Amino acid sequence: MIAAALTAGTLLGVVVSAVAAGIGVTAAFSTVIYCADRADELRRERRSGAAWAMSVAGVLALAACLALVVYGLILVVSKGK
Amino acid sequence: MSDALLVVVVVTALAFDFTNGFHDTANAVAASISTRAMPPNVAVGFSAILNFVGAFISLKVATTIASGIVSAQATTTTVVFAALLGAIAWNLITWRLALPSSSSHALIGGLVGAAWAAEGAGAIKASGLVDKVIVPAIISPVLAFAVAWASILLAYRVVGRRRPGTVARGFRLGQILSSGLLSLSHGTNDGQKTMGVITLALVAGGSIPANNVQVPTWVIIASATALGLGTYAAGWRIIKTTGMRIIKMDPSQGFAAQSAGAAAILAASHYGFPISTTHVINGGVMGAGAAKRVSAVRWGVAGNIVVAWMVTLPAAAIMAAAIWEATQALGGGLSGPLVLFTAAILTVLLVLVRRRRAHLVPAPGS
Repeated sequence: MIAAALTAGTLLGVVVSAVAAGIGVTAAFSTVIYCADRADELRRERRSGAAWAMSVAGVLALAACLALVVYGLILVVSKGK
Repeated sequence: MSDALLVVVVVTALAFDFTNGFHDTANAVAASISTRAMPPNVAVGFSAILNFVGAFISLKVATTIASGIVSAQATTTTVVFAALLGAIAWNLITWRLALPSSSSHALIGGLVGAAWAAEGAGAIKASGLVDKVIVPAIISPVLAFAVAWASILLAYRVVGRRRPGTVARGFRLGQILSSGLLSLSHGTNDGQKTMGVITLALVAGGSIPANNVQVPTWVIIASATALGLGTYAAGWRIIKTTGMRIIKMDPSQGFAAQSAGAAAILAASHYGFPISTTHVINGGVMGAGAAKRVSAVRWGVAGNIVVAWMVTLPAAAIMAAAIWEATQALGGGLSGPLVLFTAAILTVLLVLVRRRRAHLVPAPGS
């Protein structure tokens, strides 16, 4: 446990970061699932343009989600430096 | 300090690391097993490998486990031995009761109790205890609860009208990532504690110069291996409590709880705010359950867990203090720790033999 001096600023930083990252990653991943399912539905309705757009949105959401995970990994690794 | 005492402390530290691993396996895998994101043996093996890898990533925590909480002068080899044995005893008791308590708090409680017994109350830095243990212990589960609660409501809003099968499969895939991140961060944090304790003992024994403390490679490998093996041994009782007894979890709740937990741990690490993975994950599981329906959480089980969190530090402290007193009563130096160490090993062997006999001998009337 690496400990910094406990200040209101530290506490606020932890709370804001955890809320943003936790809710952000769930929102992004939920969007991936929504887009994948909706794109599948649109393809079955033979609306290929809309299905393609929905797939692109899903890939972007996945990229955002992976970026958050990679950032988390960088934080874990950089602790040791 | 004799080499024999150093060996006793090193082996006890590795034993603590092993109990830390199997006690805390639940933190990373319980939600994944409960929602069938991964088969139990795969989940535990995956977590064991990432805990092992995580222990190699960071060495910064290794020398800080007791700093700011117990005075450096009070941290003698016998105090460290008593602290470790007290923490192991508390970990085994809470495992037996299937309660997910914090291994970090058990170790800190052990250090506080043994140092108090050895040097008096003056050896304890009360402000450090409040800043590094008590405040984080209150804030971290509440934070994870709130994040998981908000996350699952958002997730239900986004995917609530999609096909349940697709949604469940999607979140199960996501849980592999969130579980992996949790295991890695657990290995990074908890592997360091044992490395720190062994390194402190090596410094006290003169094996490492005090003015240039470097964690030896064999210490890193031994600690990572003990943590990985402990994780692989898996404390199934606690996995059952976290994964099945607090709430009946669906994959989206499992993902929200694990993501909230990982976010809180990583945010806390970034700001140097010490939190327990156990508190965070269980807070997240309760939050994900309460968001669906408050009555979905078995508050009796949750209450028992919170009581265990509150009792961990004083209980481990009392046990470590009693162990320190016993080492002195048995002659101090090497003899006290050696007698208690042997007694502890014999007790574990006796329990294992009795369990094996209970499996082999059928119960009357069966």
